[in-house]
Amino acid sequence: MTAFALRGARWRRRAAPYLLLSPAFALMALLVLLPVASAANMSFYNYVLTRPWAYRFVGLDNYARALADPIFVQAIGVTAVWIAGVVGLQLAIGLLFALVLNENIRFRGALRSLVLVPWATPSVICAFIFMWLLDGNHGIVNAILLGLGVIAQPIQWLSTPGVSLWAAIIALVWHGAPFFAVMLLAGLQTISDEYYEAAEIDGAGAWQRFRYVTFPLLLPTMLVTVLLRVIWTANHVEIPLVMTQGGPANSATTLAILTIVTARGRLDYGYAASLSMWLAALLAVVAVAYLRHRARRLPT
Amino acid sequence: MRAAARSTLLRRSPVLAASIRLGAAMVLIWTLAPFLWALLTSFTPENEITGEARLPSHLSFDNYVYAWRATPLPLYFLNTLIVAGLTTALSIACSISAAYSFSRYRFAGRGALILGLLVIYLFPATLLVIPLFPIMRTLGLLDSYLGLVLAHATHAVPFCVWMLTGYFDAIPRDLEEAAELDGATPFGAFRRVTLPLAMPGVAATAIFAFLYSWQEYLFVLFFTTGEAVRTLPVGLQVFLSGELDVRWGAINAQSVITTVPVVALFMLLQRHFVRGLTSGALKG
Repeated sequence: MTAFALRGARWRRRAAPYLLLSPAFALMALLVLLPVASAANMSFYNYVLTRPWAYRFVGLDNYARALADPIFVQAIGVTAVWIAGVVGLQLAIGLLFALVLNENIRFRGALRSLVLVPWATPSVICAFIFMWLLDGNHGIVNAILLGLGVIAQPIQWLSTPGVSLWAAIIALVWHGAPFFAVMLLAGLQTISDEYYEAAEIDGAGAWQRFRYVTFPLLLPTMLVTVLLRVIWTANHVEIPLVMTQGGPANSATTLAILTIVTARGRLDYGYAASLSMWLAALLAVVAVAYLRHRARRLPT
Repeated sequence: MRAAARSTLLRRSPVLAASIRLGAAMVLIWTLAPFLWALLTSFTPENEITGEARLPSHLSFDNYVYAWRATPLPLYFLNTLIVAGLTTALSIACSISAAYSFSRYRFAGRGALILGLLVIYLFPATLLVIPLFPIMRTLGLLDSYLGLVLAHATHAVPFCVWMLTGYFDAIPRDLEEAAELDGATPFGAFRRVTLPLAMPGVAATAIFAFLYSWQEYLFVLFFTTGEAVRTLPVGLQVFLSGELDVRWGAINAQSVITTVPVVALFMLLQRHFVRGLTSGALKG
């Protein structure tokens, strides 16, 4: 081989990993990075699709308008309840699932598989299922509650302000708790038997073993999963949108839903872009915490 | 995953053992009851759907016939197959290439690019549809399979790259090196030795991309103005919101038809899927 060809071969070898990465990263550059930059840019303009003649640079006006918008302020509160309710309940239920599935019960394998069914169910279908279960007139949940005497009148789950948000919360908790169960179960299985044996020798009962062995050792897994789910839940729109369209009187309008409705309903893309920037800024704290944790554990 | 679970509680006391078993029963009920009720309703004749906790007098396929013949379900189903299939193909192609690079090469910027992948994955569809709608409109990609496939594949790629990198890392390079000694090129060795061994992982990753595309709502909502390329989630939701007299039997039948294929696929490979999720890449 001539020296020229050898140099070519070496260049190809050095460039190879980057070339292999290029399709994936080109796709992401075009359809993620470019749009994010475009959204940031869009947020500084008055950009309403039905009023193209009014297109002009407005600086931070959209951002200021959000702060003065009562629906925006309400949406922040709704988002806080939404996140706390969904992630809190998913964590609690997922933990219970994981603890049960960690035990050597009969049909454990089948149960571990079945637990994943809600997660595999398309989220819009979860919305349909719970719209049916919680239907005011024909829903089975009302029928059961009435039959048990818990309520005297059927609850209009989806058309009562304050309640519709919780209907959506329940649906998303059903859909997403298996994710927590899977992650926490994997975390539980890394806890060595020796810790439990040592605790038992010291006379610890079941609750104390949980409190002093299981919980502290599971905490890192729990935190990482919670961080991730907070971000996902804050940005999730399908279930509340399909079930409530933002709920009676915006009572189920999270910040993410407000963004989508502003874009799709009012075609006010400039304002919607600023709303999505607000949401990203509010979540940035969580995102940075998660990224710093991941960066410490990068594969080398 | 360990083969035998620790019986930390079962053998301790009968009370705890009973609680565990009760807990297992509650897990089962909570997990399956909503779906089973929807399933039962789908087989209930429309005139018997009153919402009382009563079993139907007989099971009937009428709702399924109605859902398939009298609603746009077949069109949506076909569109979803096409979009999800193409998304899977594009995602896997890009991801195998990238994962091979991350797994088998060490190069400057590798760590930064992996972190970059994570950052990109955190950008939600909610943020992206806003700027992408005008862009797609300008490019003439609204109401097109290509537009949807591009959007879906882009979101699926980061996760696919993670899963595949983990799977490739698990296969020792010795096998490839042995093949190279026999005269194969590095990529040829990878293709003929490692890739076949990683097939379960590749299949699980493909299923993930397929599942994601099948149930994706927001991109399809924004990028379709008419029914032509609409997929099931958006199509069915628009259909439901347009109905004055909601036929719950048919709606539940639509739900079952939409869900059963993907749940079946998921169950088939969930072992690999869960392993990819909880090993290395994503676990803390």
